[in-house]
Amino acid sequence: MRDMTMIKIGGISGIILGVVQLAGIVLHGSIPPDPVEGLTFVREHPAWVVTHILLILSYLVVVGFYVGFRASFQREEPLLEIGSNLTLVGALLGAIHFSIHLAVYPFLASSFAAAGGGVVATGVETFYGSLHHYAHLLNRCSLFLLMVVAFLFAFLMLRESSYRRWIGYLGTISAVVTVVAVLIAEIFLDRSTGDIVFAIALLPTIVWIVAVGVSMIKIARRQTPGGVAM
Amino acid sequence: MLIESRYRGVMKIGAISALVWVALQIVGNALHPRLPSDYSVAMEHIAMSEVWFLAHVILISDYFLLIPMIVGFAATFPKQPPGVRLAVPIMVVAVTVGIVQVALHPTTLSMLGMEYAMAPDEGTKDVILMLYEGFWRYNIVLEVGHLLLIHLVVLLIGISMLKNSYYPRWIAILGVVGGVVAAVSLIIGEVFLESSVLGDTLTFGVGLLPSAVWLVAVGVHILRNLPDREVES
Repeated sequence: MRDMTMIKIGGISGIILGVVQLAGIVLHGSIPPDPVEGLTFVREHPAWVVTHILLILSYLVVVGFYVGFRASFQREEPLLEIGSNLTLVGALLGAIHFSIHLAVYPFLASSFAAAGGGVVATGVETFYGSLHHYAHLLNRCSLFLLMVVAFLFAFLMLRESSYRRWIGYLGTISAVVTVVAVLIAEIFLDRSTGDIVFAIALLPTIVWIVAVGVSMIKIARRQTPGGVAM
Repeated sequence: MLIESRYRGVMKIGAISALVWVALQIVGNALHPRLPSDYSVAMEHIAMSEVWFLAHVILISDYFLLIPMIVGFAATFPKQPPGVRLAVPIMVVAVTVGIVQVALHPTTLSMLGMEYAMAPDEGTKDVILMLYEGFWRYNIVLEVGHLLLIHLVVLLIGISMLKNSYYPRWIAILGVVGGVVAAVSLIIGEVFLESSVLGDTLTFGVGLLPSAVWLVAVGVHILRNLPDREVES
């Protein structure tokens, strides 16, 4: 027996996740790869704190989405146990990445501006540069894991009669496209161009998440007493 | 108690993940240069290493396999004893902290090493040295923390295996011994010997050996004893 409340929570989480991720990507923008330009970008960003609080919260919503998504499966798929646990790792890594942005970058940006040159400014620049690479790698690890999860769930939803097949195909294809696009961006493109490619490549996955969310709400409505009969 | 056919796939993935994990750990740790205790010399080692990035890409990829591995192992326990139920979430925490720790090496530590090598004056070198030491201390705490959790998982699964007739008794005992030996070696190597060359050899060489043999034994045993294929009705 499927838990309709959980499915509904998952569906709502999916829609919120899609919207917040899209808003977050647009609001965040691409941080220039040069450390001095990067620190200036952070200092002058009009909504740095709000953007990062939204992005960190979106990783909590990821967990709600996949827990609900798993509850919507009529067949108990043991492979989803792998997906669910990978979701937790991916979500935590993503949240840690944006926590570094939120907590440390504005402090370094103001410290750099206050230093006005010299050894302290060089130290801040080096600190920021080394931390930025680290945060970026955590983000890419998070993205990779969450795309593996998306692929796994989308692939298994093809066996589920509750979902339309095109949504399953969209999920599997978009997860592969995102991973390939990010790999190409990381290996062959400079960071700014790579960030644009990444944002575009993520769009089909965001559409998939929203489509799954809407479907889950429909499933919950159909099954809830008083809802439309199947 | 028989294991249901539907767990065949996840068990197979778990067993293969264990075998690949051991192979990648051996390659990654063999490539990883042993760093001297002197931070300035360690940074020079990092800056000069040609395999630093490759070794860490291998080691980070390795962590991704621990989740399918533990889920596959857990599937071999039809009754899910408390040790197994605890082991899976503990592994989730260990993997997350492990990636957070190892990711420091090819990024922050590598960049600081290169900046140190190119630093124009002693003042700048001192600042970089201070940053490196700060990150290194953070790195050690994360390393000891997540490795202890992984060894605890090995111990918990080993204890649970003692009551599971699916596994031969020697594999269960090897798991218990492997978990304890690895944890003790880690504490001696990283805490008392302070991650010196000898300490790292103890932690990542001698200490991990019984656990590595156990993982291979479990992986091979599962692959040889998979439940029958599910019959589609």
